[in-house]
Amino acid sequence: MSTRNYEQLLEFLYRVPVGLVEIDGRGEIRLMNAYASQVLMPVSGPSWTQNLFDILDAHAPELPSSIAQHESAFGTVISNERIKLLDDWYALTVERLDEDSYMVAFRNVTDEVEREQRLQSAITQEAEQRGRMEIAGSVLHDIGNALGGLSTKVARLLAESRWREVTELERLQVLVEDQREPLARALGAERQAALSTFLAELVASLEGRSDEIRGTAEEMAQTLEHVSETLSLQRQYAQEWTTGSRAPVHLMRLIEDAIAMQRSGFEKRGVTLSRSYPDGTVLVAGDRTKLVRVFVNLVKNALESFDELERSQADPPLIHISVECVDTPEGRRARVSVKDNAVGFDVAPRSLTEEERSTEKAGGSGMGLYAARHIVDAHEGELSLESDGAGQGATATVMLPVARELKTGDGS
Amino acid sequence: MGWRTTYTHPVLTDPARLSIDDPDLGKTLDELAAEALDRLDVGVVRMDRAGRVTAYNTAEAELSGLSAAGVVGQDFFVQVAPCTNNHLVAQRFRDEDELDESIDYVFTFRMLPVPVRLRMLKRPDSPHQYLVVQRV
Repeated sequence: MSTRNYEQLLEFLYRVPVGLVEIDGRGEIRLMNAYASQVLMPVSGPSWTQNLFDILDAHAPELPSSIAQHESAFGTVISNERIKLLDDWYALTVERLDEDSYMVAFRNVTDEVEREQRLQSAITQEAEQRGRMEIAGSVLHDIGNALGGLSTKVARLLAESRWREVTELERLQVLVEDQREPLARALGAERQAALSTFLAELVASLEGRSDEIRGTAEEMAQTLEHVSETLSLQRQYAQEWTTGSRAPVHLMRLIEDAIAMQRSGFEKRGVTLSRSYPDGTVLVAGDRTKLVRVFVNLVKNALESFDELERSQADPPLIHISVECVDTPEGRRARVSVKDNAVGFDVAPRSLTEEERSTEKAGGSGMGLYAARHIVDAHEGELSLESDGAGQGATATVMLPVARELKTGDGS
Repeated sequence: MGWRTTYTHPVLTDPARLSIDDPDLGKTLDELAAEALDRLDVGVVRMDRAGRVTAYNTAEAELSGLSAAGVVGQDFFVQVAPCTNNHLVAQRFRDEDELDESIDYVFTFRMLPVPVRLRMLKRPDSPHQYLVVQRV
């Protein structure tokens, strides 16, 4: 071999990015490359020995016994076993070359290990989330059952056309009327008249109470219906999460679900809702459960902004929700706007960009906005809030990539 | 013909006089040309402050099996002697502006683990930094 070739071979060996060490059966180092020295020197520290077993004693304590127990005169003793040396992970392989020679090779696999750890933690998080959704689903189911019982009782209350006690009292009233003369003789005319008046007032008062209770029951029945509707929607979302459903999402249906979940909020505040949707169907790729949270947050936010209005200054409260598909440099996007005519703002809420609960609203849905923005970001979309100033109302806009648009009559 | 006087560095009249433990080693090495470094018994790697080899003396070339011609201009810690590319050696040069420290180390000359003493030298007022190597 020429000097130049020999030098080239050495250069090559010095620069192999894998640690290579030849040892005998007792761990004594015979040959090693530069990378092995680079890694092993800091591990051994100042007390360098020529024995690999000693150097790796704390990191691969089973190495000597694995070698001692290997019966065949050649072949693989250890294959890609992971060991940690200082801050890095290495895959260690030991090959028996002959009776008393072993080749030990190790390469840095820290990136691989960290990738696996990240993946593992994502899987764990997903499983935990699934578990939480399962619990949520079963809690929602139990609440639904309890509400069912309550609804039955309220329905029974409504079905009862008239209180039995009122009818009985009316009968008594008629009897007293019929027996007016004998009663006047026995009690005195004055007392008899007082008794008649008392009975008439009692009947009227009981009827009033009965009407009041019926009214309350009717309201309760309505509220219960809303709650049941919301519960069943939420259960549906929880179930989808649990079964991992990831079909393209029907955007307007999603928005309608979000509105349904906030229906009592609209009724409580007397807010009129209007919508303008494109014809046909807009499908977006994404996570139904997470996206519905975004729209629930935006609608809730718009509703709560009416709570800050002085009653006197209020125009009739309005929320307008619109969907349109537009072409952008990034591709086709669905633009969903939630516009209200409530307080508006001068300075964009910090909650859109900061994690802290910084909303100034009494209801405090700043956290909701922050979470919403992150969900939208994860869907490669954008969330923005605009207002022409205090008192001018506000518009929240979400842009989401369109997966497909189906015109009415496409049949799918 | 006139007289010509030449100055010879005292170390070069007797290269053995230069010890790896010489307190002024860095300064002395700075005064020596690359050819003069070849007459020393200890291995000397002269680098610029970025770690690029500017001189690789004969003693060091004999230990490593690499010729100066092949090594000059390369990144010493990454390309020439990766065995030093860790926090014990290379990182010290990268992190510190002034360095004068000796450590026991193991080089892998021609794949053989060879115990050596290393002296790491770097001075703020010098364009060079040195790794001086002596077999033990």
